[in-house]
Amino acid sequence: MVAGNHQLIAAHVSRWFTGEDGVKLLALDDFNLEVNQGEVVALIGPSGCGKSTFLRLVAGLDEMQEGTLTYDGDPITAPSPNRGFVFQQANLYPWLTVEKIVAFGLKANNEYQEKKLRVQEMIDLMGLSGFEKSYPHQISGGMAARVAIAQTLVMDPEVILLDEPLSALDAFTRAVIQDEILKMVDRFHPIVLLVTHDIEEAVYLSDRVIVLSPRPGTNIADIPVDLPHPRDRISPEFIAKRHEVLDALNFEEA
Amino acid sequence: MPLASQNERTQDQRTIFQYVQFANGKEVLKLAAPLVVIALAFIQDAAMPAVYPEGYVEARYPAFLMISLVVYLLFAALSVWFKPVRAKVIHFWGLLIVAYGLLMAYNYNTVKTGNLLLPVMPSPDAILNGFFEDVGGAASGATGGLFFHFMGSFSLLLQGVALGFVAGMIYGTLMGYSRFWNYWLQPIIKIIGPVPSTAWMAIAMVLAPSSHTASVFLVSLTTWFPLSVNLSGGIRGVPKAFIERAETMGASPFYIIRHVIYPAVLPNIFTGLFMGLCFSLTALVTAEALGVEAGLGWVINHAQGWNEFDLIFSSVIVFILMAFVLLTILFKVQKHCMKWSKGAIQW
Ligand SMILES: Nc1ncnc2c1ncn2[C@@H]1O[C@H](COP(=O)(O)OP(=O)(O)OP(=O)(O)O)[C@@H](O)[C@H]1O
Ligand SMILES: [Mg+2]
Repeated sequence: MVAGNHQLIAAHVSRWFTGEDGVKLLALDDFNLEVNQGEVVALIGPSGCGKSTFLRLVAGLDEMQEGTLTYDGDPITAPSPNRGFVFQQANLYPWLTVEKIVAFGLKANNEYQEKKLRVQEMIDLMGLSGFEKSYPHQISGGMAARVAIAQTLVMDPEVILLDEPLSALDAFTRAVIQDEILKMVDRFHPIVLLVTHDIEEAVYLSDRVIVLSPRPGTNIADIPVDLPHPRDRISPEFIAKRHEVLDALNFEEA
Repeated sequence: MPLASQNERTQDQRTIFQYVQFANGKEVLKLAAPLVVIALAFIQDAAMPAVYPEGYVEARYPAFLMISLVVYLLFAALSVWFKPVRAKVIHFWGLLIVAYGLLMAYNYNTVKTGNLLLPVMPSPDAILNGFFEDVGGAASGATGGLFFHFMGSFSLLLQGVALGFVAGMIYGTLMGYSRFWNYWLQPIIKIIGPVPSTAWMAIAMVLAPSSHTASVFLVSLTTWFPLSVNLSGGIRGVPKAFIERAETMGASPFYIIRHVIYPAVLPNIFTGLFMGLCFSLTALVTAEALGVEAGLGWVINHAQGWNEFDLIFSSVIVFILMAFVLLTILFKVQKHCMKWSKGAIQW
């Protein structure tokens, strides 16, 4: 991977929610991460360990209580089109067609006229051709997930936050989109944070796999995946990596 | 794609001849039935002498039935040939039969027998004549019968509703979007909103520079209230994910209001406008009865004073038509704006 100069640093990040009864629920506890431009980092951990919570912090949607979170040295305080977020739920705007949903971000930033072609390109890449004029209630769940990905990627963000974006897809489509993501990383060298429950996906896509503990989430392992692309999913090295990640996950549960 | 090209081909072949298809026996019966009823109504009116009031000469009711007959005959004839027209005309067959049947019965019980109390229940002919009466006399500038007063009401209503729409959109948006504004605006709407327009009328008349201004203000108030309440409630209910998604793509607050919040609350806006329009019709009649010396509300009030019941009926019918057309337009616009929604409110 090409190392660039953009850098995302999370240091001692803790985030808790205070319930109505005043009880604190610690979601993230002293979480640390350093990611450089062009790196794909997978976050993997049990459900409810704070993965989405962390991505929301990086997106600038929430504020943490402790620690620092910086992008290129500047603290993250608000959302930015530079940091694209594919949410866990597609939540597409029901009043827009697929085409307009994908173009939404470009229009909001007055970039639509210059990057018009990118919209169709993204729609084709995500296998949505022919559904440009469809409304969200007319497409399948897997297609909705792909529209959500297209909507974010069309902006060519410097940081891409993916919250289980492919979990609603069939195995074949998933493999296709995974390769598209890799191609895009090759082309634009973004920082990618990928939350996934699929160990194979984590090993296939990422340069590093960060394993989180059960809630409150904190780093328990940082496993480099130094296999050359394209990766062979059934090679012994690949399978060995999967074991390594699985062991890191199981270790904590035991 | 094979599917799309197939569609295009059938589109190309569509000519007017494709729509030509003769009605079958059952359809012909359905087309003929209203015709028979309208003809019966005409024959009844012609055959029976007017007995109440004595010596009454009917003028417009026979003509009305004749025109109905000719117009329906035209549509029925077209329907025998053209399938799309047929579907629409047949849709109304039951309603037409009942409507003209009732008209026939009503005519029988009024001018033909006097069974119903006159003049409280005017004959169809008297009601029709009411449409052409220049109420208020030439001095008030009334010409063209009730159309003059219809225009007065209509323009007052439109001015009031337009003003109320703008006010309601701004008020509702501020109240729904901003906590600060909500703190200050909420109490005002809670106090002013539920007060019926009748109660405001006297005060408005004194405070406003003219009775016209007062009436517009009252009508706008009754549109503003339900629109603001529905809109602000809708805005607070917009899924947070919709807004956050736009934020992460760098959309400004104004862009989000215009392109995320307003589309999301479109159903609420239409519900508010629907309620507002209905309330405003009430306010209109009140305002006209007390303030402006024109309009359907004024005619109704005036006719009541002179016991001209036929005129009351005529005005009410014009009023119904106006309300019906306005609400139909509103729902057509809603249907057009909300094509994306699966189940919009039907009218
Ligand atoms: N807005 C919130 N208010 C209160 N608690 C919250 C909120 N958001 C998340 N939590 C809690 O924080 C913890 C972490 O949630 P988070 O969504 O980050 O988990 P996750 O790792 O993404 O899980 P999953 O893999 O199931 O998506 C959970 O216990 C959750 O209940
Ligand atoms: Mg999650």
